[in-house]
Amino acid sequence: MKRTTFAVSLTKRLLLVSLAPLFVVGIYAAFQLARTQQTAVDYRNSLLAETVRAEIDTFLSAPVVALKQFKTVDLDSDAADLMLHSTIQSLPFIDSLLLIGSDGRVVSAATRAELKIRERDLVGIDQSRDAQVRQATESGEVVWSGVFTSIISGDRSVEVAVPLERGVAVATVDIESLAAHARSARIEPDAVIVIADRTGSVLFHTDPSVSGARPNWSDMVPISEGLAGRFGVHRYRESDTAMLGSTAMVKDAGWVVLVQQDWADASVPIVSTLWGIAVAIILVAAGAIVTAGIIARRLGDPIDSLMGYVRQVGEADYSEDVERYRYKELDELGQGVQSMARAVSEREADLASAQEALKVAVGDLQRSNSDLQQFAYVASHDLQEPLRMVAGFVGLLRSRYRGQLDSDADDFIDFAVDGATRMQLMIQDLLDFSRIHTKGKSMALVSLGAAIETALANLERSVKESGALVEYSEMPMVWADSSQLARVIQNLVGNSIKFRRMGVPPRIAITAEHVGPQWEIAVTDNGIGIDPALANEVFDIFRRLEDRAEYPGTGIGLAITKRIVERHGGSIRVEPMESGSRFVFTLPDAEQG
Amino acid sequence: MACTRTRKGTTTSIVAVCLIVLLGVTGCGAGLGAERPIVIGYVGGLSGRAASLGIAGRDGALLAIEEANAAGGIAGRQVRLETYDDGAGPEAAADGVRALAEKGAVAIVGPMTSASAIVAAPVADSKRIVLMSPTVSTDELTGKDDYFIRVYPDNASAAQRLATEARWRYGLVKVAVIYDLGNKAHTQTWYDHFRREIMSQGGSVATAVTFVSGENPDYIRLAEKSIDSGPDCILLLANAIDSAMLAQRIRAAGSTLPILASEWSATDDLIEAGGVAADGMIFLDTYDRSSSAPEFVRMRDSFQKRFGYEPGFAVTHSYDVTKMLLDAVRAQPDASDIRGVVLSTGEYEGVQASIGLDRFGDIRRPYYLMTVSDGKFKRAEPR
Repeated sequence: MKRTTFAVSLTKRLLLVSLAPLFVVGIYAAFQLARTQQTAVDYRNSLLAETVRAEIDTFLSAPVVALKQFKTVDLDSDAADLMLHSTIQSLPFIDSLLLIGSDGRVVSAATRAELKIRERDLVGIDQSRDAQVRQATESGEVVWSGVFTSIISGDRSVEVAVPLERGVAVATVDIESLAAHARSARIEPDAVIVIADRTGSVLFHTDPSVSGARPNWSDMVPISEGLAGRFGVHRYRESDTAMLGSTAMVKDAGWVVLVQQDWADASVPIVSTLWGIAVAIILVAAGAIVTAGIIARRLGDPIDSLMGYVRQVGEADYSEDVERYRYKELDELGQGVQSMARAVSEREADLASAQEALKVAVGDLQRSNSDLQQFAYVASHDLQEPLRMVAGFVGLLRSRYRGQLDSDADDFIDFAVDGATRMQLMIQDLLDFSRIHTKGKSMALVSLGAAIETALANLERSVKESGALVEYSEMPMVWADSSQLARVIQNLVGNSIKFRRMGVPPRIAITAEHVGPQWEIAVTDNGIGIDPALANEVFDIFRRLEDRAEYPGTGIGLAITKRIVERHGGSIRVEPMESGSRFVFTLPDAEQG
Repeated sequence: MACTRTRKGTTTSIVAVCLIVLLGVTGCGAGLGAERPIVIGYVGGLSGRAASLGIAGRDGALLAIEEANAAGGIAGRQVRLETYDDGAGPEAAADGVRALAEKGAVAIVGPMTSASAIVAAPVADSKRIVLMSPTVSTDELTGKDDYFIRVYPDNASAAQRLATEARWRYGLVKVAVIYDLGNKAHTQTWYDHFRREIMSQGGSVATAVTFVSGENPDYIRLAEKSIDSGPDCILLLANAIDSAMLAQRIRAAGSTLPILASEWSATDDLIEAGGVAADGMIFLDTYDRSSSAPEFVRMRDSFQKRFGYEPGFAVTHSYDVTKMLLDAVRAQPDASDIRGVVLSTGEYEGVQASIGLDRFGDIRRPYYLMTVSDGKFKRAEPR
């Protein structure tokens, strides 16, 4: 598990909760602002295109209006000729004005004085195949031409043909005049105006070298779209440069006005805004990082301090009091820890004194126990010899003088022999009891089943005589002294045989069950059972619950059994049953051992 | 702590995504540049009275290049047409060749007039760059082992052919000639060859009157002087506009004399400006407007759609020239010897007819006798 500090973790989370919304909102705002500014740029360019279109419309309307004056005029009259010359003087951007009769021939001509054209050269020439003249005659509408080289001036010109009642009036307009007019439109300094005729041929371009080359841009997106009647804002590439163009239509002439800008120039405010937002986000993010660090430190420092105090307490140093913290929860926690520390300190003091007392008591007990064991051993061992003498001589006394004394004397001698014999047994049992701890073998992993078999082998005779049936199944391995374990089984099974019901063959079951960290081994029989009120007394040394005459023995068997079990770290109990008894003792699991 | 790592990863991812989006929004991801295009130069008159010829040549070249680019370019590279306007005069054409060579042009289409070609050809030699003209006819560049190549026959062959046709097909013996000294390199030699040829075939020149285009020519006087010389026909060696005006004045003067002209004036401008006066004019063209050759029909339709007007001889020849140069570059992408590749072509299949190139870059190609009828160019019916 990779651990991190509270301050670092808090810093990360503070950054997450502050930066994530910041970025989301920032980016959303950037997109919205970019879109708004883009719309503004589009609108501005569209407005520019419309402005230029309006300028061109105004420019083009002048010759049309002028020529319409001739609608009902007699073209062959001197008045018409006079009027024609008067008109051209008022319209300096017109190279020539021609009045063409219904036969297609020029009736009257007026040319701009600077051109030094012989007007007589023009009068009488056939213009019936001039496209504009033909269309105006056929349609009865004003027709504008594309760019052509004027037969009069030799310059790039456009021509407008205005239908009259008896013929057509034609004006030739110098493109340069149109260009000058277009240039007068106030547009952005980095914007370019392009005017293309109906074929896509460029009539005017802000850069004279471009319009001078008369390129045909019918394949350029905004022009081709405009020629198809679709006007508006376009983004396209021109010579690998991204461009922004807005188009408008000069309706009378069918021309397309394009105001175009290098997208890099047009998008300067957008890019500036985005950079501004980016810088703002970065600055705010930097501020957030610093702030998060400060907050984390402010919150983390008291925790570090408290942690230091806890560590100090953990090292059993209760000498200092915890400091008081600004934050209520932390302060309460600190106070709580301090209270705990004090309680622990007090407990430790109590424990230390208790341990000291216990130590003394244990020492006393150990000494007492040792003394008792020594006493029991010495008593039992040292008593055996005089007792053997007593028993031996009392036995001699009975064998030599039986029937020679009165009957009471024989009885007394029998009592003495019995007493001596029983005392020998008791001393022997007591010696065994005292040797359980001193003469026991070391613990090992042994088979409980083998211990049972050993016990049953030792009890073979009584088993046979009593007709006992001992049942057990597969037994576990346990951590025990094998001899003492076999003795425990032997004592319990022996008891079951001994305290059987009269006339009822003993049925003894030995079972083992894993309960918690230990094995519970039960020996269950169908014997006479034990009075539940006396159940705790059966393990007392030399305690007998039944008549000795009927059930012989010293009454130490269960005491030895208990002592062996306790030496193994287990316990033993008797569980009263409706019929029979059930002894249960515990042994540690082999793995625990 | 797996959980911590995950959260850390999430935080990092969010910040990373935000930064990426931010950078994307601010346009930091610049695109990669494309490979440098192949440059083909064009020098021709895009302004002035000869502009219609120059613009037609430019548009023809542009169509060929646009088609090449639409087909994927050459060796994956796009082709760009770099233009130079020599409308100011022959010296401008020479400057154009220099400028286009400096801009990395692998070959140049143009010039469109003989006067420009005579001045520009030596510059092309010095720059060792192919200068290939669709329309130049001057004899001064005939038979020269230089970098000037053309797909248009020289004046001598055209003049001799028209003289022969006039003399024997139309039975015209006495010819009045009006020619423009503004393009003397073309008109003077043309006239000289024609006069020599018609005279050698028993004809004569009744009069030869000159003018300078753009200097306010007196069309009425020129027409009257020609008519007054009593010719069988009048030969015009002028651009389309001047020819139209002269034809108008000839007809206005009541003359019905046949009017002959060189191909220089055979453009739509002549039809429009000449009106009915242009009807019946006879031209010796290298270009047949009524051709039904499939490649020509396809090119004509494409051109009409792209540029909005019908292609003439200048467009068609310029288209052929540009395609020849593109083929040469395609055959030799490093463009180290475009001249050698073009001259080794021998016969080139143009959109209308086969073009035969000799080792000097002069050509053999068929002529078509054309006339104007009801405002349209048509093949002239033999008399």
